[in-house]
Amino acid sequence: MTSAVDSDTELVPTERELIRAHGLAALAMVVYSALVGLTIGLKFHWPDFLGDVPWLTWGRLRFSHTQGIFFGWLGNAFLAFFYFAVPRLVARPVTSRKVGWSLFVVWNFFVVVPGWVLVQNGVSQPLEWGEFPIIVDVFVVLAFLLMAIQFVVPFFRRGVADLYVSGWYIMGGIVFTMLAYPVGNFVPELVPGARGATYSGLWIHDAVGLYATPFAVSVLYFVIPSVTGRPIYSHFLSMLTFWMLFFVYPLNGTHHFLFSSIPMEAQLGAVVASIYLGMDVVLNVTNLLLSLRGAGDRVAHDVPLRFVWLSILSYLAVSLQGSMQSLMPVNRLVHFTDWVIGHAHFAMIGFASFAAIGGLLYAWRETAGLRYNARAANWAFWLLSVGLALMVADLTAAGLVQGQLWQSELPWIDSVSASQPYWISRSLAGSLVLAGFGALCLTMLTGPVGYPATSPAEQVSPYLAPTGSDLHGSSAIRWLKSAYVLTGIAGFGCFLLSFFALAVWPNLTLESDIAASRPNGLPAMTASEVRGHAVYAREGCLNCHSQFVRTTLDDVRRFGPATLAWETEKDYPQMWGTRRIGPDLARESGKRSRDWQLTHLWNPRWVVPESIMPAHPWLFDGSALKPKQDALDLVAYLESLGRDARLATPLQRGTSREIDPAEERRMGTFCDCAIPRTPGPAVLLSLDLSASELQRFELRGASVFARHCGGCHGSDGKGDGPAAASLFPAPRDLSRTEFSAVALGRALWEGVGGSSMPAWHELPVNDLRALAAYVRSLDSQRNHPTEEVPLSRDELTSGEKLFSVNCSMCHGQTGRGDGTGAGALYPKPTNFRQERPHRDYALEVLERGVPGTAMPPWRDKLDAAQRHLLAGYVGTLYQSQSE
Amino acid sequence: MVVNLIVSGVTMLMAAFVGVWIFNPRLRSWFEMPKHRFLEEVRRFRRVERD
Repeated sequence: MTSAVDSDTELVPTERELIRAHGLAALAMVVYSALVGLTIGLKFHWPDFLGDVPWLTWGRLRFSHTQGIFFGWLGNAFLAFFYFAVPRLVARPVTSRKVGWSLFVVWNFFVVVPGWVLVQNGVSQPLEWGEFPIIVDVFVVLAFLLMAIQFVVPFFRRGVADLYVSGWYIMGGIVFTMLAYPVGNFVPELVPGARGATYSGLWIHDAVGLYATPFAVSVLYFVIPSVTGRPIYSHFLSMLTFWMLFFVYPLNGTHHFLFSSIPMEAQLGAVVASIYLGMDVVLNVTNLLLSLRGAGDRVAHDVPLRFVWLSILSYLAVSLQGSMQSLMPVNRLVHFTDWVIGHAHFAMIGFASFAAIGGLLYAWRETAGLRYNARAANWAFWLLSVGLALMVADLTAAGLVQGQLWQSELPWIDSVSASQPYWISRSLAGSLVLAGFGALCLTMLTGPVGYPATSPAEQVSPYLAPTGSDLHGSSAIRWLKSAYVLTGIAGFGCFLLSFFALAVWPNLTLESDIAASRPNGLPAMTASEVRGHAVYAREGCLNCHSQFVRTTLDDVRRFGPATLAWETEKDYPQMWGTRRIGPDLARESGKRSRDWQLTHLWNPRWVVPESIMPAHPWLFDGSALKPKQDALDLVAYLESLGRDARLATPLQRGTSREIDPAEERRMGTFCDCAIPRTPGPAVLLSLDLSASELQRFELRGASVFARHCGGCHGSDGKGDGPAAASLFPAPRDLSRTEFSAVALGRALWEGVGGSSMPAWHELPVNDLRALAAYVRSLDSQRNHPTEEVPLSRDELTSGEKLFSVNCSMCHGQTGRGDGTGAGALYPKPTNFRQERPHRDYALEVLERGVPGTAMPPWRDKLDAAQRHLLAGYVGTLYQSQSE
Repeated sequence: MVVNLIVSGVTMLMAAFVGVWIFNPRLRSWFEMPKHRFLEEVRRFRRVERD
């Protein structure tokens, strides 16, 4: 059904049914997207919530959340608004109702719904703001073509030279998004790694700058004069800022990859453009706020206008925040943290969604036959505003805390634990936002049908527009009309130039850099690793784990050498990521055993008790011991991350003191060549402490042990933690061996190669010392000494002989674990000079061997007496204070 | 740096428009005309729809 306007010469239909269809679709989709967002938030503190269902896992849900808000909510809301606005902007109808329904079907049933179904079932594209798979991308491009036919063609039919600014924003948003979308979504599939990142980086920002922003600003400029009954402050200024936005916004994208291997000139260019954009927004917002001067009463009483007003304020704040966080010193601290997530919510809710709601509610209220509940609209405003304010403040604070902790030497998991209170608060904020969208549904589904009363301002002071007829036809006007067209062409050219400046040209530079620096003879990815790449992408691992170590001191210290461009040449598409909840994985190769990785995938809390990573039980056949091919492939892929650099780069030693901070400040980055590639020799954890000091250390050690070690070694250190069953070799029973301080220091600092015991050198030295003290306190002999009958001289001689014949090949003649065969063994044979197994434990090992190591069972080769002799003999080799 | 060229170019283009606006006051009303026409259109739609 269509309502009609009888103009002087023609009927201009308003497509009420299309407004209704897109409006209702927007409501349904925003509720689903917000519900998914809240579920994601809850999983931060209840990581096992809905954790057994693959299509409800965190990574896949986040894909649905972002794309649902982007296409499902904002897309439909803006489209509903366009059907109301475009006829009023051009005084003629949109192109075709058939095209309109085709667009509705394509947008919702070929893009949003199948996109959701696909990403939640593991078919996705691991690119930020491009998470729907390529098949859906094809329909997105088709939808934008239909949008151009439906809404842009009427503008051209009318003539654009004296078009109102909202029309310019609608046209610009549709045309430039249609051009940018394929570049950001298709090219990274064909261009790998750092080179592909230059393209996807552009789209990350174009998604906001060329889609959400222009459509939102078109609403702002439309609703303000429509509700207040007065023209905007300056149309000239609005057009100036319009062109500045489209000239400069496309240049921002690379600021998502600062301190990366993308050429520094491109990075700095993006920073310059980001600052420039901030100035543009200040001008634009000034114009918008001046347009509201004297309309405070209307803002207070008219909810759509109030949404628009808050959208303007958010636009200013979020844009200045964006400019600031592109500055390198700020970016270094806040990038990858929740600060950026707060920024994204500020932009997508505070600015874009509030504008969309303002436009949608205004169009809804002004369209005949649609319901509008003013009371519910007021509730929606307050719930959304309070929810948003809490969420942004909370995530911003969380980001600062995370940034500070990542710059410290504390272990990664400390930042996760410290974020918990903020994440709980974020869930609360998310509940308010969801309730706010619920109230929005009530607004548009309940209430009376009909028009609101005309505003008093309009009744008492009818508007008389100046004619300006004295200027029509003058040469100056003809020149200006041409200038507008020329500016349009320049805008299009600038847009293309931005791709050259931030993508094509850096690609050429990168190509030559890669050709010059790439080592020869590196292994290609195996079939399993390639499949693992796909599993990593589909499970959304990149939502929490970045894959590029920035050229910042803190990144290099924590993760290892900065990621070089040539290392990323196998990634189709790149999965650098823009957020870290878990640690960066670019240097994962060689850090963990395969068993550890598999156990971690089965249940992360088994090996990292405070982890919030989702479990992936669907990658297993009912047990951590039965990985499916997907799990094996994923672990193979993880093991390949950073392997090329490890193989290619000789170990370099140095100290971080060699870095010149002044040089770093000047460059905005630094040469990481002076950062040690290895953590250096193990620290000596002296435990020569007074009784009271030792007690304090043991107490502290117990808490550190519970946080980091209990998952494998069990709460009492008996090697019976939940992860123990799936680790080979099994975690040590720490109560049955006496360890020297040297042995503990080395195991904690370097890990135990060939086992699942990782290196813990990132822990503060005092925590390591406390751990060592606590582990020593677990020794059952120390707590409950039992009599171990000393060996006689003859027994010692026999034991030595037995050891020499049967054990010295691996353990060495003196028991140092340095026998001739030791070099080929992983884990290395025990060094009995630094570890003294209790006799009953040694006997047990001799009888059964140690599964997962080269230590075989000796019950068939040595009789019980011989085993008893050997067990006693190895205990005599221990020298707690030496070596 | 290409970005500098673009930013400088945009600034000069905008400066040209500002120059026209400053030095030719008569053209200001042409620049501002769309906002008046738009408001008339909004009112006309509303008036006719409600009649």
